[in-house]
Amino acid sequence: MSPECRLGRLHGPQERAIVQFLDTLSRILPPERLLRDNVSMMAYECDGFPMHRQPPLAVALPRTTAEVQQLVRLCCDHGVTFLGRGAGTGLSGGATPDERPTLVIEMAAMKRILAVEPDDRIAVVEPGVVNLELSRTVQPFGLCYAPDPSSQSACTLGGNASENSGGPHCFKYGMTTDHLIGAKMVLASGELVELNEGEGPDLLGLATGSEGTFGIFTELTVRLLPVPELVRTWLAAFATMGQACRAVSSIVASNIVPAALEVLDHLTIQAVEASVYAAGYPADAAAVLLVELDGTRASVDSDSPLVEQYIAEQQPLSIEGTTDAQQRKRLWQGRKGAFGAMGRLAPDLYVLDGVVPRSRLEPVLQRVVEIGREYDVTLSNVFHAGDGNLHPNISYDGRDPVVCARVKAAGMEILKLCVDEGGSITGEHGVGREKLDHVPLMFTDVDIEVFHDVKRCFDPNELCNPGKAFPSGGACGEGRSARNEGALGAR
Amino acid sequence: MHVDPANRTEVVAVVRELSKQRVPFYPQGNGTTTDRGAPIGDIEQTVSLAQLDTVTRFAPEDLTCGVEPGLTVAKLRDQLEEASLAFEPGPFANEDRRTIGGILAEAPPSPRGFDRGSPRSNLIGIAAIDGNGRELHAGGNVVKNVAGYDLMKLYVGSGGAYFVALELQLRCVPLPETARWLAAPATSRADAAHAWLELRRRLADARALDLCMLPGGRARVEALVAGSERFVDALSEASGLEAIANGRAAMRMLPGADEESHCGARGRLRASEAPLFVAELPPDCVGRIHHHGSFAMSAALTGSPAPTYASGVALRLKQAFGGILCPGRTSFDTAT
Repeated sequence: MSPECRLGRLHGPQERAIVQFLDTLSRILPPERLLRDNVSMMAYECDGFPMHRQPPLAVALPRTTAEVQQLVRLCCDHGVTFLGRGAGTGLSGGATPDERPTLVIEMAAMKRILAVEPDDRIAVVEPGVVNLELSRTVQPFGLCYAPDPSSQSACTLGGNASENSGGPHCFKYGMTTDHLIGAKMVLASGELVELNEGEGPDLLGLATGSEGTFGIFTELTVRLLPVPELVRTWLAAFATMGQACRAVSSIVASNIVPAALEVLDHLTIQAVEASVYAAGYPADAAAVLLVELDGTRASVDSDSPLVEQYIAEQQPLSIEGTTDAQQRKRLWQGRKGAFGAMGRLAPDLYVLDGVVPRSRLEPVLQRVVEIGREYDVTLSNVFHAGDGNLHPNISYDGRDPVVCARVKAAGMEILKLCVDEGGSITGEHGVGREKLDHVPLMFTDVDIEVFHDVKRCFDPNELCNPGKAFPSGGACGEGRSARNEGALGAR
Repeated sequence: MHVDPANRTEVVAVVRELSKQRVPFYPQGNGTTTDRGAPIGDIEQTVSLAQLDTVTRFAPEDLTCGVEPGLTVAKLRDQLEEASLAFEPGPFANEDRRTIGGILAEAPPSPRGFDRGSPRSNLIGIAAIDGNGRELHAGGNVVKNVAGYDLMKLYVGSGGAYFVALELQLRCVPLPETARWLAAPATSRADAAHAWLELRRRLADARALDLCMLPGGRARVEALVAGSERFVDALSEASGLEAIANGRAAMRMLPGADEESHCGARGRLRASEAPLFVAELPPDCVGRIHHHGSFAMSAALTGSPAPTYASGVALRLKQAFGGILCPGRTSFDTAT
C-alpha cells in the first residue's frame, strides 16, 4: 500500500492537507533521506514490541537540529502527528506510529560524539549515538557511560533518554536520569529549548523518561564515570529459585552495593545454553545468580568475602568467581544474550517489565509461574533481582490469534499481580503503547488528567507521539479500578 | 495569615479552600529557609506542613519508606538508623529543624549530589495537592519505576511552586559500618583547587569530595568516606588526608563552615573551571564546591550567566497546577 493509497481513509480537506504536507516535506529533505515506499518503511511499523503495528506516513532522516526544527514546524503547521525514533529497540511500542498519519523522525543519522571532556567527566552527544559506542569512545580516557540496557550495542542515547532506560548495572549506578545533565529538545512548536541540571525547575528530569511525548532530543550532555579499578563477577547456580532470591536478599541487606544482581530461571538457562550465547551455565540448575562488584581494589576486596559467604549460606550447586575480563565476559554472555536466545523457543517474544518490592520476589515468581500454566503459555524469567525488576518472557507464535489473546491476558494478570504487591507495571521499558490499559492500575483518573496537562505544557496540540505513556480520554480499558475502585479489575 | 493544619485531611481542606478563592499561598515546613528566593511579605498566606511529621510506611527489607513532608531530617535518620538504614542525601546543616519536604523542595547544594546520593535520586514517589485542589500521585513505592511522568523531579528543587507534598516515598540504603571525614591542611585557594581536581581523579569511591573556602583567602579539601572499617581505612590511607571526624556521626555533619552562611550565591560549575572560579572569590568569602560542581558561597557573585532553561514551559506548568503556589518565590515567575 503506497502512502497515497493509505490516505484513502482521509477525505476532502484532510487529504489535501496531507498531500500538501508530503509535497513540502519532499522539498526539505533529499530523496535519500525521506522514505516513502512500503518496503523501506516496513521496519518503522513497530519497535521491539511487535504486537501492535502501524505504517507511518513517511520517515524522515534529519542530520541537524535545524532540520529537526523544520520538520517539526511543518508537522505543527499541518496538524500532522510525529514521533522521534532511535534504533527502534524499545520494548513497549513507544516508537509505533499513531493511527493518524504520522511522520517518523528517525534520529539515527545524528550520531556524532560532539565533545568528550575527561577532566569534567562529561560527553556531549547527538541522540543517534549508540549506547555502547560512547563507552568505547571514552574508554581511552579511563571513563565509561554507566547505563547499560541489554540492547546497548544497538540502542541509541536519545532513545535511552526518552525512555529513562535502565540495565543490569542500574542497581548501583541508577537509571539514565541519574547520568543526564543537560539536553537540547525541539518542542512540538519547533522551538528549541535547553534543559539543564541545576537551572530552574528540573525540567530535564521531567523530560527524561517522558517517552518522546514532549519533543525530540537533539543533543545530550551525559555524565561519565571512571572505569572501575577492579571488577569481580560470580555465577552461582541453585537447585531452587527461592535459594537464589534469599542470597539476593542477604546481599542487599548488608552494607554491600553490588554493581549488578541478576537472576535467570531454568527455562532461560536451557535456551541460553542451546544458543550461540552459551556461557557454560549449569543446565540442571533451577536458577543462576550473577553478582558483580566493582570499584576500587580496596572496596571490592573488602566486600568479596561477604558476597561469597551469603551465597554459600544458600548452599549453591556451584559457584564461580573471576576478575579476568574474558571470563567475566563469558559469564555475562548468557545474561546479555538471554532475550536473543528466546528465539529458539518460539518465533515471537513478549518481554514483560514489572517491578515488585524486592522482599516479595520469591512468592511473586511462584505466582508468575502459576499464571503461565493457567494461561498455557511458555514463560521464562530473567530479572534484575536487586531492584525487584521482573522480566517474565512469554514465547509464542504471533500468527495464532488465539495464542496472542492468551499471551496478552497472561501479561495483564502478571502486571496486576505486581501492582497488587505494591510494585509497578514498568521498571525500565516504559508504558508506550503496550501498557496503556495497565496505567489505571497505578494511577487515578485525576493523575492521568494531570499527565495530560503536563504534556500540553510541552505540546499544546498533542501532535508529538500521541497515545503513548498514558491513556487518552476515557479509554482507560480493562485495567481500570485498582486505585479508582479499590479492587483489581476482572481477569 | 498563617494556618497550621493538624493532619493531611486538614491540609487538603485548606488548600482546596484557597484554590476555590484563588488565594496565592506558600507551603512551609519549619521555615528554616524563608530567606531564599523572593521575600514572603506580611500579607501573604502560608500553610504549615510541620504537623505532618509521621513515617507512614516503613519497609526496611525493601530499603524504602514513606514519610509526611513535615518530618525533620534528624528524626528520619533516627528511625532509619534503628533499622541500620540511612537516607543518602546530605548531610545538611540544621537537620534537627529542616524537614524532608523542605529539603526536597529546596534541593540545596549537597555533598552527595554527584551520585545516587542526590535528593532527586532518592524521591521515588509522591502524593500531593496542586493549586487546583487536585490530589495527585506519581511514582510509587519501589526503587525502579518508569510508569507515568516523573513528577517527583518536578517537585525536587521547585521551591514548592507546583504542588504541596502530602506524602513522600523515599529510597534508603544500608547504614555504612563506619564513616570518616578527611581533610587536607589549609593552603592557598589555587593550590587547594588543584589538589581537589587531582583527588577527583583518584578518590572515585568517596561519598563526598568538597573544596571548602575558608576565611582569609585559604581553602582545603574535605572528603567523606564510608563503608566497612577495612575499606574506610584503605581509602583514608590512599587519600593522604587526615581524619577529622569518625564514626556514624560523621554521616550527619559538615566539618567546615556552616552551610547556612553560604546563601550569598548558589550555582553549578564544571570541575575544570574551579581554579579560575576560586581565584576570583573575595578573600573573606566562605563556602563549598561539591564533587559534582554545585556550590554555595557566602558572597554574592556577579556576572553569572542568565539561566537558559525553558522558562515558557516552566510558566505553563505553573499555570497548569493552578498558578497560586509560591508567587514570586522562584525566578521563572518573572520570566517573559
